[in-house]
Amino acid sequence: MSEKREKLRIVGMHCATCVNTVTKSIEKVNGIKGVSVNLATGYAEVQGDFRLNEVVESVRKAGYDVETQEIRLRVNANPEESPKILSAVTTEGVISSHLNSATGILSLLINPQEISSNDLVGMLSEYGAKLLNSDKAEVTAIKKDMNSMVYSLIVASLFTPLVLFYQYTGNYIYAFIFSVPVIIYSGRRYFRGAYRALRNRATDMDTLVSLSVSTAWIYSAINLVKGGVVFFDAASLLVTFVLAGKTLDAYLRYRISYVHVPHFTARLSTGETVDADQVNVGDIVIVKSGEVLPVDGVVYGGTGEIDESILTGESMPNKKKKGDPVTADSYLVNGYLEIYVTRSRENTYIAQLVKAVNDAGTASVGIKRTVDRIITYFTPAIIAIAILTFFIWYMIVPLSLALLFSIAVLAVACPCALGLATPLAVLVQVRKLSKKGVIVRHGDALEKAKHVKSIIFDKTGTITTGELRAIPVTVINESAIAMAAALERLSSHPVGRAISSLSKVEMNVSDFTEFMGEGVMGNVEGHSLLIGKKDFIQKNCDKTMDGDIIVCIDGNPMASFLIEDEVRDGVKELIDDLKLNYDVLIATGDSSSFADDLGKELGVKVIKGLTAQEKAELVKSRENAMFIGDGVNDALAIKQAYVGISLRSGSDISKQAGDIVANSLIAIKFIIDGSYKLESRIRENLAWAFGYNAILVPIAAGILYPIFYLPPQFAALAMSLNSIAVTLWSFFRP
Amino acid sequence: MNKIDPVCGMEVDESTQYKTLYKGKVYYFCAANCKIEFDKDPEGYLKSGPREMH
Repeated sequence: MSEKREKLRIVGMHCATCVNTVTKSIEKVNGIKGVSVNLATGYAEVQGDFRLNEVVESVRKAGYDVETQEIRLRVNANPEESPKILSAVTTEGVISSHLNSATGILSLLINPQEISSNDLVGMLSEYGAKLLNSDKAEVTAIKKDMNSMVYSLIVASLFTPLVLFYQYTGNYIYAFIFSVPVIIYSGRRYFRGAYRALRNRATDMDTLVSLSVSTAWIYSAINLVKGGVVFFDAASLLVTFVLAGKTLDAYLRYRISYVHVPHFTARLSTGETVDADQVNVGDIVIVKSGEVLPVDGVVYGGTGEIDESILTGESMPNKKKKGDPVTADSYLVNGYLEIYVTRSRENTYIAQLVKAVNDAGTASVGIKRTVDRIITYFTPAIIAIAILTFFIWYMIVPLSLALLFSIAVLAVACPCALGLATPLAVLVQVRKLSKKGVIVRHGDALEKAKHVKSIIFDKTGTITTGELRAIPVTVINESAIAMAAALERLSSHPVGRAISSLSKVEMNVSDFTEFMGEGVMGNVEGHSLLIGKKDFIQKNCDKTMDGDIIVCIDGNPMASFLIEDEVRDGVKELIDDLKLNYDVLIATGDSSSFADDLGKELGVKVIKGLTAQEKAELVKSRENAMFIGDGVNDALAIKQAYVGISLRSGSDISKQAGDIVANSLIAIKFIIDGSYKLESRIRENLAWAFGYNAILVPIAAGILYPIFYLPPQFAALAMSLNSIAVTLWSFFRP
Repeated sequence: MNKIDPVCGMEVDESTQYKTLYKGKVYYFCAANCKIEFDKDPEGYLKSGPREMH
């Protein structure tokens, strides 16, 4: 790295305190030489030899945001090219970049102040990669590419039998003529690919295929003139077999690895039936018994029972009536519903899920980086082996046979399987987890889950249901409860709701003020009331009493409450199980005695009374900590965690923090299990890919000759079948 | 009505969600960070006035 200067737009700064906090947060990052933050413009200028992602992360941890832009591009390139493509986009302004070599999707997070998506598209085009930047264009382009492969294959399949016929009947001139369309037309994609790789000083599968085809074909063409052995058959069959294998492989990968958003139509209240994509927020959609809901919305009329197992994994149908939220892709078991649309189709839960699943495979898991380095050396090593094979055999056998051995080496080597091994394994695990209601947003989090040492749970809403109960403990004045209930009726805080449920007596309330995280204040029937946590009361009422929440009337504590919550089903068993292997903790902002009781009941240590910042610091201080909490309120701790999991509340996953979004606590076991499986699948795939090359390259080089000999065309067939095998094995392994 | 943030000295609207009650008086802040700073040392800010102004 060298010294650079970058301008970032900081979001959320209000005053000089904010400027100080942001400046300090940036200065903490390694390699920073200078920072200047401007409150008026909202820009920060950073200078030094630093990593941009660390700067962004540090500012976000300090409670501010940095303007970033996410770009998804589909790159048309061979899997083994991914390290080159990633290094082509490693430039100023790029915060992070991931490439899924199975689907070709390149995800970039950029600083729009320094670089634009057009700049990146330009850089990648210069590199020679074909790019598409919308999902529809993506699908069309995949189809177009597949069609071109099919046409090439048809031409190859038509002419190759003719080449074989004339070759074996001794009409070499005709064999040559009919091999021209096969080599030039059908084989052109490999020559083009090899040229692109060469221009970028790289080598890949295309290099190997085009080298083997052109060596065989040119050598034969020269011998046709000079008189000697020709193998137009081998050259043509080589192209045909590689094409057949690669077309099937591309088709399979497209069909299996690309998850599609299901297509639906929607019946509007106007009687019109339209494509679900055309429905707008505010439209009323009608759903009848037995139909799938095409959109997210709120029940506007009618009642019905809905099977939401696609979201919750719970197959018991839930009753829905007017005002209840409903989610697209759930199923109306019986009844009739009119739904007021609250989210357009592209933003529904299921669409977000599909995007998350498709994106997760782009994660650059640790082992992939190692494999990527190996791939860089793989093809040059194969070319060296092919040359060596030629010279060794040239001393023993005729030139033409020595050449066939070296062509076979080039044709049999399969760098693709190496490139596909890791992303396919990630893709499969991410998809399996998504079926259990776990959305893995970053594949690397899944890889990290197996290294977790401690598991920290948030309490309210995570371990417990979050439905609080207030229990009066000290009551000096009976009317204090009714007055407190009347005042808290104006609060939307869960504690407020719990207190307000204690009395239904109507009273005159005025001057209600709520202090976030502290308490409330107001006048009730002419008395000044203050309800809040102990330290809040202490600061303002001088006196206090025992309890979690104290009611102070006209400067004197008059009543206090304990706040209790209900533990979710199955938590005890889950925690008992996790305690066997992990250090389990509960971190909570609640300072009530209920938190202690809960810790005793579950047999885990509870750290209570923490602010959001303190929770985040606790998570950071623990080695390899997994934090599970509410994706909105615990965002800070989730971001600080080695693996951050948010429990899904509502269906808008894009608003939640977390590498992984789960729908229940039990999902933690699936995640850890998935992490171990991922590692073993990656190992299996790599063992297969390396094993294949380690066995077949020596055979192609003629190590078993004359007992066994692998002609170039069958070497090419074995190569393309290997990619298919890795793909099929990844997806259909029991 | 506008109030003064005791930490940074900025003018703040009373309707802000960042506020606290200290010794019976309500103080308003421009953002969460100022409130956190105030809670650490309320007496200090009330005696010497806004510190973070440049």
